[in-house]
Amino acid sequence: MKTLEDKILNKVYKFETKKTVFQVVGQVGGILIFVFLSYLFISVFLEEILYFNTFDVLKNLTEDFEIAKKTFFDTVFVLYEEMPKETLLFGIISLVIVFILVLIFIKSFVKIRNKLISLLKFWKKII
Amino acid sequence: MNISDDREIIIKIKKGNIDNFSFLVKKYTPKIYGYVYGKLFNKDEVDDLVQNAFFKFYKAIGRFDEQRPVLPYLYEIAKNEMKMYFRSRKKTVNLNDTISVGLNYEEKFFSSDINDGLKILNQDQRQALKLLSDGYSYEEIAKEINKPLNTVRTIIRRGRLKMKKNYENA
Repeated sequence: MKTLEDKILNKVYKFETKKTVFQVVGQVGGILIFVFLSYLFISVFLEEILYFNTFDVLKNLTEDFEIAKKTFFDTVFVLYEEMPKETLLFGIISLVIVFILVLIFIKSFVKIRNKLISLLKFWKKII
Repeated sequence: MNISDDREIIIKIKKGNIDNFSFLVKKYTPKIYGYVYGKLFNKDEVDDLVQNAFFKFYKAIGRFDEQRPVLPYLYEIAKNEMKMYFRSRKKTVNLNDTISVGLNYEEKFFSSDINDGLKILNQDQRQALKLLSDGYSYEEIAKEINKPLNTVRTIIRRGRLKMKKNYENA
């Protein structure tokens, strides 16, 4: 019976090790990939904006209050037109995904940590 | 250890303390082993089946309601494993082989050679089984012979048992 119990536990631990490793690698890898993508898109976005001096349009708003009030919507429209929208959109989407992945990771962190401790104990005993 | 202990163990496993699973394995392996061994008798096959049952239980533990007792659930998994085992061992015939169809006792019973055997059944049983062999459903038979569905079920079951007994004796 002892051997059978050992066999069962061995099978379960092998399965769990694979699952946990994939989970950790998947989650951490996913976060890293999307952090990198966010960085890429946002840096491209900022570069383009700085290159074309898009924010110069906002100077209108810092002048006389009456003029700023009159030209507010035009300024916003021009700003919107001149922005690299796709890059900004991808950047925001990547950031949202990073946020979600980090939340998932934080939520499952205790469980994963406990699993890793259990797995480590088991494999140490075997080795 | 009682049910509340099992509940605590399952909660701990769900939280990731998977080393607690060994308590369940140690506690229930002899029972499940005995249950499966009582039906299979082959030690290697029994070992495999018990392993699979516990493994499947572990995989399902995330969805398992800790308020429920563990043992009946394990028995159920072991039972399903055995079903699958017996199904996988069913004899199969190559498509190219010639198939000689053997009649089961019911078919043999209704074949012309032993149609006389119908005499051992009473009228209701005879009628119900004939209708059944013609492809009628239980509901249709109930309507046909004007009897409640459960009565029809009983009639058919008793008729079959009688036929089986008669066929085995013949």
